[in-house]
Amino acid sequence: MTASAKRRPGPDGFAGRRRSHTIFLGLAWLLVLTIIVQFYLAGVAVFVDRSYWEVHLAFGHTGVAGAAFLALLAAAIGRLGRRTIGLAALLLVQIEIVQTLLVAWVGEAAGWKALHPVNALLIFWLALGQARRAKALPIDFHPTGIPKLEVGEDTLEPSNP
Amino acid sequence: VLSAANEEPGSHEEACIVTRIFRILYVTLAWAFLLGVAVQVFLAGLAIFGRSIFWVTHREFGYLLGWLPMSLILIGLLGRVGRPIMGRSLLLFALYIVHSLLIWVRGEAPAVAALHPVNAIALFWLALWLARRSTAALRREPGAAARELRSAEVAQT
Repeated sequence: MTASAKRRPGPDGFAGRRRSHTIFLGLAWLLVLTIIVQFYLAGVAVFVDRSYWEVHLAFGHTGVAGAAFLALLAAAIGRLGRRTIGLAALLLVQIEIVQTLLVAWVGEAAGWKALHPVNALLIFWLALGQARRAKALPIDFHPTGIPKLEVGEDTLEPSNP
Repeated sequence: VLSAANEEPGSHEEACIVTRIFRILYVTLAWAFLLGVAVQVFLAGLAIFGRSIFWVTHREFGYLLGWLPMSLILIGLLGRVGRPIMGRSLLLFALYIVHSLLIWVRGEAPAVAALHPVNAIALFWLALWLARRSTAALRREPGAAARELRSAEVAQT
């Protein structure tokens, strides 16, 4: 078996990537949904009961960050392209590190902490962009972002064209 | 007939200029509203993490911001921005009304009032769409490329 034949993903590789793409698409929209729920939990904490800040905090670290992490995992496993993986990684950093830093580790200045909900808007925008990008991704793209090659070259060969 | 023929191109051009001015104004206000939503969220953050007096600032700034969706409808009509943008401008105004109503029910139905920040995301999303779409429409206008080229030539000379 030649080196190029080893590199060439077979029909199973294509199906696997397609599955990863579908899972990534689902997770990208799930992330958007969890962010909306997170905003609602903040509203409940303000308007109903302050103890819901704890729920907001816990859901942020589990539900929202979990969805972001799984989306990153699906993008990486499915080799969905550098930009897609980069955006998924950026979202995870924003959710798990920047949001936590803004509230917990930047001191007592309310001005910094007040950027937490503003950054949440930015996260929502990025998550929406990720979901739209996931929907628009072609299945048979080259993982490095190079346009797909013609069939017959060293490229992916769809099992069901 | 001759005088009418002479006047028509001039008046048409004037009408085009006026329409374009309204469209530029629309784009400016759409971006201003988007920025306003971000500032409003920041003020809510200040009230939550800082002093509760900022809720008053948040409320007053919110009412001030309400003029923008109304102005967008009016300016959109004058600038003939097209049905998709006009439709969503009306939706933006409707969402703004809902936003105010959600606060009014906080005594009777606090769980419903908790949708206030969720509605804020919807406002942000819609405002972002309007700002980007109207900017893109303005850039696509016939003659926009020629005007840009002309201004570049003037800048070079």
